[in-house]
Amino acid sequence: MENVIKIRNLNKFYGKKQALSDVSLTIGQGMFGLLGRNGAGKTTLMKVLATLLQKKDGSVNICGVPIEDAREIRRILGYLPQEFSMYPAMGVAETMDYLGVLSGIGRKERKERTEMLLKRVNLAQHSSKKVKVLSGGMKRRLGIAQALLNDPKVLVVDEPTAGLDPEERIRFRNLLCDVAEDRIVILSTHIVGDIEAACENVAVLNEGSILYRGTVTELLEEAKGKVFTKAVEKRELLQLKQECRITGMHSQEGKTYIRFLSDIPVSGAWASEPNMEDAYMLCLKQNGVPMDIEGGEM
Amino acid sequence: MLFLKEMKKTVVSVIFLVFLVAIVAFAKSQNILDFSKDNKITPPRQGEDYGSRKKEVPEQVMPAAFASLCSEFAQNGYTAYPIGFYKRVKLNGKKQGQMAEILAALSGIPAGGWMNLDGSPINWEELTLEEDLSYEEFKGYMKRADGLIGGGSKYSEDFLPSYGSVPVTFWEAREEYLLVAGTDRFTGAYARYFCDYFGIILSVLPVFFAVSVCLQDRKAGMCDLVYARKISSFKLVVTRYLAVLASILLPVVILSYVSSASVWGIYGEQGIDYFLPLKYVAGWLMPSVMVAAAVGMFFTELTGTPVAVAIQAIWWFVDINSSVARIDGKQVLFQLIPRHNSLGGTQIFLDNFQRLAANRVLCAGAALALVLMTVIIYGQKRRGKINGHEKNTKFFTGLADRKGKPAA
Repeated sequence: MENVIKIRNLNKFYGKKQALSDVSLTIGQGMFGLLGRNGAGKTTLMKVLATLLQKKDGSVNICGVPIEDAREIRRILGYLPQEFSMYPAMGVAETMDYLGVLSGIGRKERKERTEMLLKRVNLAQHSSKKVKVLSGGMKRRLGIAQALLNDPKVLVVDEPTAGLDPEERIRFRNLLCDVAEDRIVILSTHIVGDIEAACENVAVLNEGSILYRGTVTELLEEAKGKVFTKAVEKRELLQLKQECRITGMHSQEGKTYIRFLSDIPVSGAWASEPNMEDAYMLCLKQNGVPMDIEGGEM
Repeated sequence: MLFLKEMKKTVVSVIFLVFLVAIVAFAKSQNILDFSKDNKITPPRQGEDYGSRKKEVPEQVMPAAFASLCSEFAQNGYTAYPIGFYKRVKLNGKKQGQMAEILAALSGIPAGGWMNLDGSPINWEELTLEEDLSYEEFKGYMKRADGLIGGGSKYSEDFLPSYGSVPVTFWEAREEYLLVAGTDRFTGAYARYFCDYFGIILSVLPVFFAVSVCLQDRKAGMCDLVYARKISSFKLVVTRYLAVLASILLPVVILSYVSSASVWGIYGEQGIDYFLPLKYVAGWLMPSVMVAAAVGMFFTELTGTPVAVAIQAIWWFVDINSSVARIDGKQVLFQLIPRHNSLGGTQIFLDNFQRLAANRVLCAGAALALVLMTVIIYGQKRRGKINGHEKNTKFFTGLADRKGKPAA
């Protein structure tokens, strides 16, 4: 059974609204990032992969199993939804055990994997605590532990770091990288830093369409020579805002430094090493995505 | 394993605690937990009063029903129970005229002859039935009167026999006693009485459990975590259903034995059947629990709302009211709550047993059909093909928006 996800010309509609438009991706082993703003269709794509939503047309094949075979897909896939909670009155280990039963895992294996996974996500000492007393970060860690219960070939995690403090976010990313060593992990997020820190391959999704697919390095490469920094006055700042796409701004010693995208050198500005945010913004710009559109999560 | 986990989830809940308190309080209030005092079924002795029983005696039925009809005609207010509920029917001029013709035919006095010289109606007590009227003819007129009232009146075919009664003889009382002792082995009589009362509450309370079980995943934010598991929809839904049934029936079985055991000391030497409470709970009460729980699960999964509570409550309310006419143990095929509100009445039970059995099988079958449909709906929801909750939320939000919008 090949360890690869093949998505071809995938379309999904909510009524008349198209949520996914001709999405085609090939995702191999390791961490794969799906980047896009809120409402880009990331959650929809994640839910289609997790067999929780029906596609309109196209094909999805996960490790040799067509998506239509939901039962088999559910056997090999672990899923951490964007928004979730658990029975508040249930204990941590008890919740794992319950979900393990639903996954059809035998008693002995359930016990072993629960112990191992709770240790791995640093919840072993909280195993008898009720879910309702866990912090947001602990719940997320329990979430990843439950998604790994059935030792899945594919792990789908949807916006897992949203709402976590910086320390928890780093710990969570490291955990994902750790588990991605021997499986496919798809990380969907709108937080560019997560992708930069954790993923080798990435796809940028906007309004249901794939704008970019490739490696993070290639995406950064494309932005080389197109990112500039300049110290500006307030008056000039307004003008630059209209002319260029600004990716960063900070004040230092009474001056305002802006970071912006430009295809050609700008007088008084110096070229800067692009980071992932610059590359992402450039990708949106090159695909004609306006800056001021606000999307709603689907 | 899953069954025990689901049962634990059901049992460790506020709703279960409330249920336990409710059924114990109900049983205590109806005095069906302890039959040891004043409820001993004893053999009849010669010379006692054995009470009376309904019997369609034309000589009693005809004058009594006629007098009742005259009285109601004078007031133009007829009592009826068209769908089990009390209704006072007032006839319009035309129908009241037709009713007058019926009374004229029954009494043999033309309608015009009923008035005094001052125009007031004559004393109805002086009006009597025509002597030559046969019972069949009388029933025909009663049928017409019932039709004018709209059905379900005191002149309907079902109601007429209740105008007559005969005293129970020693031999009849003895025969009834022998049936209780032989066929029922005493415990059956008490179990039926217990089931009569428990059938009332168990035809509605399980819907709360089922609704709670179906909504718990969404309430806890667990839907996606559960949907994405390998387990089949059939196994999950059926196991949850069985866990609800077991959680409800377990305390009921215990209470039925508490109730039955209260008379074991009285009849112990006469070979009582210790399994009868269990048989009665399984055969009589379980189908009611099954159907109420199935209605709860089906409509909750379908709509994503607790609307099932209202649906089951309405069904229960209509049925409990219509069951007044069959409170003595008469059974019909389409009923939610079988009644048998007497200690004994074995012959009535035996006479109606086939209809009762058919009704219980029908209820259980309907429940299983609903559970299977719930499995299908649940499977569709897991694949994102339907989302009752989302649809209903949109529907109600839409209504609220329309209400809030000023008229164009």
